Amino acid sequence: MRGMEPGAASHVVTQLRRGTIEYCVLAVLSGSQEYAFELVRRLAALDGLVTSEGTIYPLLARLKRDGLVATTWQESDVGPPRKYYRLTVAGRRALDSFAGEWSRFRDSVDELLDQAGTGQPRTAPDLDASAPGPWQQQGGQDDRREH
Amino acid sequence: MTDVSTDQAGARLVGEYLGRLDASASSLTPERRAELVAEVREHIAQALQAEAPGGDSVDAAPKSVGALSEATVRNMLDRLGPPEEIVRAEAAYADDGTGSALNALPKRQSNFQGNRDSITIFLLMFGRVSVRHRLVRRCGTALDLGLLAAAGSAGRHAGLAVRLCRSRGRRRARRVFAILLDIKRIRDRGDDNVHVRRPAHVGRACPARHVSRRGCADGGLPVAAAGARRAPHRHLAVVHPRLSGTIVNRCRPCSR
Repeated sequence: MRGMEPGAASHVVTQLRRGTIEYCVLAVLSGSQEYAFELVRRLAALDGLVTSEGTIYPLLARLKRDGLVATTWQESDVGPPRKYYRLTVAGRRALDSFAGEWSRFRDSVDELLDQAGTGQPRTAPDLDASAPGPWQQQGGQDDRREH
Repeated sequence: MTDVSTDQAGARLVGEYLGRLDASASSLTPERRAELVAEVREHIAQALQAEAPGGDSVDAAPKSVGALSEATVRNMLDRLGPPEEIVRAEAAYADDGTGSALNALPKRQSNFQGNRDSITIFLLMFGRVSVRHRLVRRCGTALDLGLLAAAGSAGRHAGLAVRLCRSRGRRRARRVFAILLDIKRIRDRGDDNVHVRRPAHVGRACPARHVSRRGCADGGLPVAAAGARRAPHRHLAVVHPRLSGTIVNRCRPCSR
């Protein structure tokens, strides 16, 4: 079974990254319009989100074809005109829809990982080896789930 | 290509990279191929400018942009990723939209919206005519509005419906029909490619100086990037008599 093979976790993360990167682009554009280089730089600054900066350009083209982002050319003081990307109404709806689904998904996975004791302890970082595992700390369950 | 000068080895690296990208992108449409290469070329130019001494901000004017080392250029190209991977991503995203954020949109609402528009347009075109001969004439207006409300469009199209109901012929209905199509077109395109407000440069040479084949803000490519000759042009403003805004949906090369 593929999911149990060594290294499968990194494969899952790759798939997750592939599936969520477009929403990350939409999220970056939700605040203000950006031109492509700045957008790529903001995404690349986040750990593990973008492995190859150049692949953002095909993604932007796809989002534009789907009508989720729109572009405008604007003059620049320091060079040629720049193409700015902004969120469309459809893009906003897609982002809002995803945000709700992602929140539920993340909470569910976090809860299971916390119960299994594989998650990072969110409180008491100086737990020693003799301390009971998170699955044994009945009283601290709610505290650990706070993000 | 760029304001930034690299040393000879760095420039060679950039040239090779763009050559590989262009060759790999031969499977794309000519327009998209040119656009992709132009985007990556622009990215490289801005990245090198940001790497240059005193160029930590890409918004700052290039100051003392000197020669960049081969290692710096190579590092920047590594971050960009192999050209073949970029083209593979292009092909993957162009497949069938599976996994697209577009699919996250509520489909039911989307279909319902389309059906609702169709019903509304149908009612506006023919509803009044058909009921006029079958029911009491004075009840026609109320019935039209009732049918529109049943179609869920009364809020959006009530004003148009009232205008139509006050009209006496199909000519008026055709005008309303045209307006509805305009509204639908603007919404379907997500405001892309359409300036709802009048841009400041209407009637003057476009400051973006792009060649537009598909529209103003949408399909235009920088002339230099597209490899085309510079073609100053003017925006053609279309003022719709029924809409408050000005729609600029064409951007044609200037004939002068």
